[in-house]
Amino acid sequence: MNEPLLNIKNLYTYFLIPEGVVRAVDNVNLKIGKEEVLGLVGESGCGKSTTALSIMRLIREPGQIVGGEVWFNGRDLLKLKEKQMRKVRGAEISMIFQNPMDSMNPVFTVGNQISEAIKLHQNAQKREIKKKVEEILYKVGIPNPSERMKDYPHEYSGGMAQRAMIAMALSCNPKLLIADEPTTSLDVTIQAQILELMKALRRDFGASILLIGHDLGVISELSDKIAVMYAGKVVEHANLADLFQKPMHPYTQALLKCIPKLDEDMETFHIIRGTVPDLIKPPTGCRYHPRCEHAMKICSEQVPLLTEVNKTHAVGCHLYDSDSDPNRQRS
Amino acid sequence: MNQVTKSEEETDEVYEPSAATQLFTVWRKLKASKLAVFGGGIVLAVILIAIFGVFVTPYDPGEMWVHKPLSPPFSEAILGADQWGRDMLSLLVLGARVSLYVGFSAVLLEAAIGLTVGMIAGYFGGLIDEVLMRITDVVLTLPTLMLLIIAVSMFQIGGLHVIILVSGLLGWPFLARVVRSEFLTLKEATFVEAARSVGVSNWRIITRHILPNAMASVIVLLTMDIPWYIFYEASLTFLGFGDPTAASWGILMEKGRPFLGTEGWWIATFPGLAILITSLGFNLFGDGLRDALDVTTRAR
Repeated sequence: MNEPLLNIKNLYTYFLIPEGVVRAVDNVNLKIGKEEVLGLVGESGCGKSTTALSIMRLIREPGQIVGGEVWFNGRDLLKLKEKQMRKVRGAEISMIFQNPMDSMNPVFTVGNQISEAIKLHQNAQKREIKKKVEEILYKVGIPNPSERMKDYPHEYSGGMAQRAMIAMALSCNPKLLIADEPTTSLDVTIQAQILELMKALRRDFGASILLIGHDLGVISELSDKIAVMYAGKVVEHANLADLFQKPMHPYTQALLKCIPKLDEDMETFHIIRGTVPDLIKPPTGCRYHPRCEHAMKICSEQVPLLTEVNKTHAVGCHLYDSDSDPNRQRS
Repeated sequence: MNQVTKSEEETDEVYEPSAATQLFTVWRKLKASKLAVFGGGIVLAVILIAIFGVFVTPYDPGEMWVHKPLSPPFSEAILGADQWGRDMLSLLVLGARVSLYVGFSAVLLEAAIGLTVGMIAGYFGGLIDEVLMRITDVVLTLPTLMLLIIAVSMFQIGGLHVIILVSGLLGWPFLARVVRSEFLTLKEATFVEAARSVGVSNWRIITRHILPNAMASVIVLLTMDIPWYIFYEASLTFLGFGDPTAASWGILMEKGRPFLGTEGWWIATFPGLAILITSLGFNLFGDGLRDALDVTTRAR
């Protein structure tokens, strides 16, 4: 593959709080190619959003990017000055958030907010900006945009607001769009519409997308590749098809089981027992081992490395260690 | 996209409601509340009287012996005359100018300091916040009236401006706290994060994104603080530490004090009533403004 658009190398983002150090992102490596959609999946509190905010360098106190590199379009974003970084935000990488109604400033009209993004990054006359705002609102499916742009955010429905947020994010033709749980706060029919919209826009704009979510079913609608995160680490990384056909990591398998299937007669939903561990004191060895069905002795002792099984599939689990060690019997 | 360009109107800035439209929206909501309209009416009337009143008063407020000294209200003069035969109505009109001047100037000073301190402390937090808030605490504990008396006694000239300066310099801590708390909450809002994610600078986030959201409480607070400064000036003057060259309502009250229980009750009572009504007006108006400035409530 040629040079990826985004290449995250050994990223560490910690939160330094009085209780200790929260290792929210612990040695994460991710690549997103041009015009590629990477789905980042995991339960709440796994460090998905922290990874996204680290790319944008929007981590705030007490959070801190402790180490690593974020190569984007030939530059390491972590080495840029704040002023240069501001030019990247919005223009080259933009972001949409989980709750669209909260993402817009309540005292400004929708059109005003989208035009601000354009004004910040492009030299344009007021009339041109207005035209652009209308065009982009039309593209994301806001009916009667010349009127609706004069509305305040609270006059929009959740789905419309998310469309407007997408419009704002795409207004400067970014190369990378980070969508942090873009459909989570919307109801299911609207979810489907937003996903359809993102699919269509992906073709139109040719932007790469980092799609973050906890629902593998939703994420798989859009993604080319999927990275599964657990407790601050990427545990599996694969093409969409590979991941669904042969999920390797026990956590991925468990997540897949959690998607309800229509053709199965189910009495109960599958759940993953336990909760995401406290990231101040994560479990030793593999961080998933306390919840893992296949936990072995080594799992609590050694951190498994993310190793490539084949060119498109990598997994970090001792089950697939190549050398056979007598200690690695299943317990 | 093509359909859109057809409906394109040849006007600029339609996407941004002009200041006039926004004012109109606030006005519509304000109008819905009777008390707010009442308060606003008083405020407007007092301001108009303060600006234009001196041109239409029947007598020169400074001129003595235009009436018989101590003529009661509704006799020779509508509101009576003071002990030197000056026309009370004309004096009250002039007093409005002085008292409002004190109120507005002091509030401007308060706003300048309070907003700056509150915004910086709330937005940046950490050590800056700690230092600024401790300073605020100290200023808050200073006894305003006593310091005013000391300041006025120290500076022989420009008494009125000393009062404005000192009361404004001591009046900002509460505003700073309110602004800080608004900023503390608002800086965590998703829309601020969203603004940062499109590359908006700190300065712009403070002034363009957070401040307008905090403005409602600021305007309300400032509106309600105006009568306080009028009170301060009046109390100080009533106690005899005022600026004898400024014909404020406080001065009128002070001069009328000896006559309160005797043959000239109206001399101190009318300026007192003027202060009362003015402060009532500002308070009612401020209250109504609080609701009107909130964009998420609709006019009924």
